[in-house]
Amino acid sequence: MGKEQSDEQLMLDYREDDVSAFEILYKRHKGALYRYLLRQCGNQSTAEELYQEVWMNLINARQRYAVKAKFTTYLFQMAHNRLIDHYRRQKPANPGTSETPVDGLPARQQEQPEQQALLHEQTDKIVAMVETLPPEQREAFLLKEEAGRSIQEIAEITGVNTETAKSRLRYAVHKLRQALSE
Amino acid sequence: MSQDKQDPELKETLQGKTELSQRYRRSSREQPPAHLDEAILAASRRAVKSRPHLASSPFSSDWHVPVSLAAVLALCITLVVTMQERPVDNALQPPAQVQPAAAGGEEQKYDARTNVPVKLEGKVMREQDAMAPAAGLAGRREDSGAYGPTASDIATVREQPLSPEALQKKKRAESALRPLRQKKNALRREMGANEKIIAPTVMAKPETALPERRVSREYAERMALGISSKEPLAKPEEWLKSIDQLWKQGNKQEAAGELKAFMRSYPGYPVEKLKIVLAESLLKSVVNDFTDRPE
Repeated sequence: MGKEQSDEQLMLDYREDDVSAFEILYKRHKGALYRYLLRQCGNQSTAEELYQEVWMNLINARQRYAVKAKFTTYLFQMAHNRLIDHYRRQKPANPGTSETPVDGLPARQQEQPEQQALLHEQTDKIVAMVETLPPEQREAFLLKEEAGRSIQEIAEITGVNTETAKSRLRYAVHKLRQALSE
Repeated sequence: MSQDKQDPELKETLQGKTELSQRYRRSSREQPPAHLDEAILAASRRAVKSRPHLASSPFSSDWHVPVSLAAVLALCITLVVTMQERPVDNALQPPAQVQPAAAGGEEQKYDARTNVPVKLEGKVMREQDAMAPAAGLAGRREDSGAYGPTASDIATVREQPLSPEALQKKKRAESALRPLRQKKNALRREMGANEKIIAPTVMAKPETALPERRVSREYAERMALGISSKEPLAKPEEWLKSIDQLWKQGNKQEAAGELKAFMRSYPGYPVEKLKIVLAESLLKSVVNDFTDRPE
């Protein structure tokens, strides 16, 4: 068996019209990206829409692709930017949100009691607790758990310094542990 | 303190070894719907298929640079060839160099009237024509009454390096010009009024300069031959009046001379008209001389 190709090499191959390279890349990252978007926006149809947009952006930008960072960082940075754009468009519709995110991410739409109860029924408790985290802490946690990014990469994707990224992840983990121990 | 305690927790979390991480991964298993997978993969294939079509297009960007360079090159070559073949406008050429006669090996011809080398004069005239727009015609009018090269023409010729033979010929020409200049100065004094009339006309309308200049030259020629100064310019009636005045003032010889000059200038002038203006005695003394002349 040959050694598994890196994400960056697969993307370069796809830039050179290798469709199979893209299929491999897609299979590797589709779940993580989808869940990241789903947890962040809390709405399946919106998550699907954003998910498709991110991949379409990647396809359209393939001619300009150059290896400047890890492919996963590149992919999740695109997803982060799409989320920001989405919530900027949605901002007037959510004037009553209690949390004002530091980096543009608003509080989840489903943080109302009824929706939370529904989520509890549908998913495991820990998933529901993740969705109750403040957006920036939630994003740091998801980038760690879903995308497997390091602190430095989380900082790069979210556009903050490493200390801030570390602090957000630390608070997220601490809150989840406390909730699980209760 | 608390940060120090939490850092090991964070390290474990980052390594994915904590119970929290494992439990989350077990719970989080959602996948995108199949129709999304199909749509995205189809789009990826379409993007690849559309690329060769663009690359093979005859108007793709690969052709722009070489075609543009070839067009610019062809344009430059055409321009250079056209510029080389095009005759240069005489007015834009620098003044023609007056070559020494000996250098050309040609025998100089001299104008019978002025004893000025014809070729030299021609060169000078061409030079004058070329310089006329820049120098202005007003400055040239002072020499318009004389024939032969003007003072500025000679000065221009002097600036050119000349061979000894050419210099000798030039001296001959200048010596021939000297008496003419003296005559010219005398003429100027006489025809001052006429010149004053002609000059504004020339100033206002440069294209009329040539005929006026011709008249002046003709006048100067007649003066050189000893013909009366009034003869070529005055109208017959005015001339006759002046002759009559001379006769009445007692200048009979002068009046007779003027009348003779008049008769030479206007041989067909009716005698009846002469009788009206002039005294009969004057007329008789002069007309008798002309009665035997051949028609």
